[in-house]
Amino acid sequence: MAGEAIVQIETRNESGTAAARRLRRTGWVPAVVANQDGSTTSVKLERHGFEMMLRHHQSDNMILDVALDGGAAVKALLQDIQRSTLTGAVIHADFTMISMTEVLVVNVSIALKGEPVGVALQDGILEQLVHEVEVEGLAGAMVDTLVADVSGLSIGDSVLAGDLPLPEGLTLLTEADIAVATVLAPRVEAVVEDAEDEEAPAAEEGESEE
Amino acid sequence: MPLMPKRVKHRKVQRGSRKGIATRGTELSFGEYGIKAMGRGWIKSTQIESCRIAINRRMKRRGRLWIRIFPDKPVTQKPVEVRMGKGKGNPEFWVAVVRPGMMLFEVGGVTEQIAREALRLADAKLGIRTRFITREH
Repeated sequence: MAGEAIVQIETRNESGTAAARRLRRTGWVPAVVANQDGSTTSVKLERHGFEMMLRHHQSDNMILDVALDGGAAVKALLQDIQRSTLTGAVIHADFTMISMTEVLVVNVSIALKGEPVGVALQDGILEQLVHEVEVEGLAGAMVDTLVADVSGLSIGDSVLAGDLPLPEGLTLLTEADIAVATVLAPRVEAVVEDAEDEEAPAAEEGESEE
Repeated sequence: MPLMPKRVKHRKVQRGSRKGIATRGTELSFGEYGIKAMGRGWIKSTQIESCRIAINRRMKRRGRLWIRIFPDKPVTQKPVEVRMGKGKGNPEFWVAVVRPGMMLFEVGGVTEQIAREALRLADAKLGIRTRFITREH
């Protein structure tokens, strides 16, 4: 998870909605870095390169090397990303400076591996119920993704959060008995749909005068 | 049975506003793939139902479908050849008010190719532009 790419960030002097929109129009993303002493620094980073880097990672919470104004690279946790509702483009990012010996609480995404027996042989449906779990551990031990092997699941079986293989040094904070993925029985089409049609207009009139 | 509320407080409502963009129900919450509204409008319960049928037919009982919108707004119409006045018309159908950015349908448990085809068929039944969304950005 740590230190694959160096994200170049630059100090930003302007703040406010209008200034942020001007930045976005010119291909930059406004961002904030929370320093270890509690202060914050307003920064900006190039949108295209940042989005390309995000595409190659499954998790949005990752540890990156960031270089402020061309200086030396330091470790930072990508705490949050805001995206445009319509286009999905990144409109803001939050970084937190960290040290690799610090204990962090991070949401790590879950990837499923393999085709379950219940899907391949019994026509079941694999459903992923949880896409992220909260883990705690040293920054140096953090991973991008936890891989859950679902190939042994039959219909009705589930992989629980507690079953996820955690690397050494990480502790699961999410409740261990939460189902991450399950194989559901194949659906049976309801044949009696038409019989219910007669009752529909009655439901429409059911107003309460309270 | 078409989608409609079981019970309503008021049988007839005013047209209301469709301004702005969606602020809730904009992300994939259940499935792996979905379609998001890029335009605004009213989507009738019959349209939602035909989308559901088209998606399920393409997915051939595999996978799951989540319908993220619900037609909770009654629309009234006056009968044909009736003069104006004499009160508001009768409730004729139900619509969901859709604003840009709203997630309309989500599917899971199928391949991306099948999801794309199923949701394309659903898109063809809607009067607004939509965009295919996956969990990978």
